[in-house]
Amino acid sequence: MDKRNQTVRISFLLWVFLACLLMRVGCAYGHKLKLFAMTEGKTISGYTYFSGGARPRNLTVSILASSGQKLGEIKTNDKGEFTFAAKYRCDHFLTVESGDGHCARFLIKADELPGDLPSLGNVTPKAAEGPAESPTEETACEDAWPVEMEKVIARALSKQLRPLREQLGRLEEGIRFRDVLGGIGYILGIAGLACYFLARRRAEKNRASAPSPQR
Amino acid sequence: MHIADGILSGPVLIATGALAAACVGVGLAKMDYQQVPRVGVLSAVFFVASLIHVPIGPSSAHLLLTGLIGCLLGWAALPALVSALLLQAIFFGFGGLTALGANVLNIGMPAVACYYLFGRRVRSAASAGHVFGLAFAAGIVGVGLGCAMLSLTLYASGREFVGAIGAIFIGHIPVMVIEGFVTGAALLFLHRVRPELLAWPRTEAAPKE
Repeated sequence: MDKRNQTVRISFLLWVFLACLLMRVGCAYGHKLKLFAMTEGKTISGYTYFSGGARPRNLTVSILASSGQKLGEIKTNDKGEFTFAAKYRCDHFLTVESGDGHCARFLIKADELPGDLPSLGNVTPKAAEGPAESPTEETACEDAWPVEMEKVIARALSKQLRPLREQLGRLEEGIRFRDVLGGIGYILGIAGLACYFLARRRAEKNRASAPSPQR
Repeated sequence: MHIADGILSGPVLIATGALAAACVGVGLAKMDYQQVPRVGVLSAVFFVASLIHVPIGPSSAHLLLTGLIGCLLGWAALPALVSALLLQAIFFGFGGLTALGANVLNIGMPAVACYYLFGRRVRSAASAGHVFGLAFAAGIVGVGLGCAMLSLTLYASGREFVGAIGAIFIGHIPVMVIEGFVTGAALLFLHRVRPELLAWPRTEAAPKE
């Protein structure tokens, strides 16, 4: 009886420990390398960060086109930031890798870059499609708005949108309480299933060797 | 400690995946049904504990509890880790799904090593101090071996070895110390309150039934 009480107490303590950990999860973030980037005119600027907020320095961000062609490589500065001047209007895939097995990716779509950049040859079908898709729209815009005006608006918009996009990125990476609870539920469920099958196998074995109840 | 998708090369992914599957098979074969609740609870503990991360310097680290899981589960640590790591990959994108095998090996094999090095001795340890010392060492060695295996897997995929292993070790020194204390406290508690839990249920709890 005493031993049973102790078992109950221990399992209770374990669950309390788990619950305490869970409380902390509420405000915690996972360990994951993230990359954020945005365009402002022709420059792509952004930064890398661990999802807790720490900014790794001196990481190499490589920039690839969708065809796999390398467009450039930049190192992040002391604040984990980088800027890159886009030369072509095409999809820019940014990838960054830290030395300990984390990596992050970010895609800057061709649409986000200004229309006066040349598209990246005819090698990439996507880049070639990009300007072809919306020529009417753009010419219409150019008729109504002077190019300078468009640039000013683009700059102002990107300034306004940046915090919003950053917030979105942060929201995505946050650990949600319900996910954690779901995960624990899964684990308990798997353990329950395993118990069931193992117990059944054991019962069958016992039945097979019924005369010897020791095992 | 969790390797993301797209870091390891194809051959390494296949090799670690196959090896991890074999090791998990060994773990499952050695697992008795009386151990299942313990495996489940420790799997849940690992799942939650390694989600909480603490920023350290330019990087961040989280608990692994390799030593604790290894000492308490032995080979059964591998099935426990597979389920927890799989769920972390699916829910939070911690570690890639393709790198699951590598992650299981990098955390699971040190756990098994801790079982052979310390877990069995903890059972027969005479004094409380002895238990704490062994468990503390298990906490440190578990994380240390994990770092070494992580650097080796990265090296096998053509990454730089010397610089990486240094950075990984330095980043994990605080984790090692904290793990040492956590493992020590947990095993000391079990030793005081219910020493049978440190042993396999198969050997000691079975006769009671």
